[in-house]
Amino acid sequence: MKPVLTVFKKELKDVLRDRRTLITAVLLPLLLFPVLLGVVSKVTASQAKKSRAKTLNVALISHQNAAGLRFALTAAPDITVYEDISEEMIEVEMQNGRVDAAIVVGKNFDEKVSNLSSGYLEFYFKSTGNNRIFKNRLLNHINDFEESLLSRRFENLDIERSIVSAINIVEKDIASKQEKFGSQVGGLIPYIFILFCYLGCMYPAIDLAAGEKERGTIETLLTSPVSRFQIVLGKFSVVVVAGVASALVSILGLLIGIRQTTAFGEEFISAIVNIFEVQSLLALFSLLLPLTIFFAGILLSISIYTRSFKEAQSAVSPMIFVVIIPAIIGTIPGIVLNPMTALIPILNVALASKAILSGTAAPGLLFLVFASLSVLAGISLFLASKLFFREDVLFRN
Amino acid sequence: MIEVTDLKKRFKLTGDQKKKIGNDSKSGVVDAVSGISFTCRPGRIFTLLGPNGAGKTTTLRMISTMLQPDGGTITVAGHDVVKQPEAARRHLGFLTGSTGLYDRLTPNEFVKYFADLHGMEKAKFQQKRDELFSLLDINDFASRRIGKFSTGMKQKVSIARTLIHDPDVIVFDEPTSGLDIISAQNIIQLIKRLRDDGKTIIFSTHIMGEVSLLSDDLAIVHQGKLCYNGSYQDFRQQMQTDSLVDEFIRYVEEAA
Repeated sequence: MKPVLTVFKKELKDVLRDRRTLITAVLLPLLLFPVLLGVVSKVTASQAKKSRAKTLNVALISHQNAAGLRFALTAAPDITVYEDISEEMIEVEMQNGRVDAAIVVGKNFDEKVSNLSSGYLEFYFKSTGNNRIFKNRLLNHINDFEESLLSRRFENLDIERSIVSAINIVEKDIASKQEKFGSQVGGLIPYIFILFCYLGCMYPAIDLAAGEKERGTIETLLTSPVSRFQIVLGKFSVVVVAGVASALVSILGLLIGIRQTTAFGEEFISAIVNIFEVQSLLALFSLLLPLTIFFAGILLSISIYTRSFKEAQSAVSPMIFVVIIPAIIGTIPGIVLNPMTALIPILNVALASKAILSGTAAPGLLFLVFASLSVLAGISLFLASKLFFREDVLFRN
Repeated sequence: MIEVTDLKKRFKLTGDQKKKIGNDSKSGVVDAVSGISFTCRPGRIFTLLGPNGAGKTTTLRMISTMLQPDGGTITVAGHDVVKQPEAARRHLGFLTGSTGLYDRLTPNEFVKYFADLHGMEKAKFQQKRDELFSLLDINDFASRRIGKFSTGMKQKVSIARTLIHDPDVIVFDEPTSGLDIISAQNIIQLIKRLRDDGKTIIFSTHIMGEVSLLSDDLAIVHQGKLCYNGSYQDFRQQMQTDSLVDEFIRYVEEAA
């Protein structure tokens, strides 16, 4: 074991001094979420605040009808009503930004309403971006107006307003905070750590095999009295450590990001912090480890096979998609861990993690995921060491 | 001591390689080394001379246990390289002109790494390290990262790495290729010095000047076969042409 440790220590030192590895395996996963969540939540919050505070410019074409609505809108402090815009010009004035929305009252509106039928209103709005907030604000005013009309009708008919609701539904959601969290954003966490686990393995794997071949250091290493398997094992362990570290750092980064972001409610934050109990962390780690070994074995095999750093890089970079796609499928609601999905690598980790985070994971299925990943991990390690024994592969140059 | 008996090595060619060398045989197999035998003795420099593609590097890689022979035997310091490769490697130092180094390590770390791989004891390592670092003038830059070194500085570190475990047998595969005159000269001096220390040295080259400067024993290899194997002194005495180059060409052409 001592030679393996010697190789491990040297390679770890070498990798830790490699700026590329440090950036992709540590800095990027650590900073990405705090920065991303910080910026996104600040911008969204300030935009939303602006949209709520803005005085709405609304064109009203009343055709001398709906006096109550006209009164309600002009009286509202957050609305300025423009009545000098013709029906034909509505879209133009909305496009050039003079008004945010427009209401056209049907010509026989008052008559219809007094006959107890429905008055006709055309409501012009844009469904994009912050305009949705404007739409809702304006709809509230219209709804208030309708309510006043309805109340009057019920009064005239001498009927209680409450008669229109035959059922009063009281919702009781028994999903725990953890389950809600797991089903809403739980899919995102495995997606993130699977991706960074792969990225974390990538550069060390390329550097430790293809890089070693390209630099011409491999011959020197092979003439030392250490067996090839020991060399592979030492290198392999460094790749695994980098992958696991990167995945854990990405989760840490995500937690830091969520904690410092005010956009998420207290409830959400306490839920997300609570799910990271020792037990669920251990369960996640037990899946992360074989997954990383699997990645490390595949990446190292490709790296051993290729001739140079560049060749290895162009071979493994597109494989990110192979990793991402099952991870994305794992975030789709409704796709759950079952005896079949438990056997599909990467997807099984995504689904199992989601289940662990929601607290709904079945131990039998988790074991199946662990066992199938371990088999694949073993195969990939075997493949890498086999390749390291092949002369035609090692000396392809 | 290195003993090579009836050594053979075949390579399977890839499609590209076949096209490159115009080999249209169906099997796509070439004999890189076909049945060569020689002995390298302690305190003598054994030169392997041959044109590019003659099989020099393949032979040296088999001696160094990087490649497995397809036939024949090799012993290094009494150890069969196939049956006891790790034992053979303990006695072996290996250096080529294209040997790379780890740019992100310092000479101290680099040399220590190989000493550790050889399982050297701390005291012995320290002593050997101090000796080599003084001899090669490495101390001034021993704690700086190798990445920014000149070729000459790198070569010195490579030599220190090759010799740190005090090997009995040293393999130099075209050790001066790609080096400037001063660095190449340092290597030549070093090889002589190692010979005088009683080491077994095998070195490959296609540079005639180096042959005359260094050889105690000489083997000319061409298309995987030896066309001369004997002492350098005998070679000089038996010369039928005026220069080493002409004589070398004569041997190669006769063999063809």
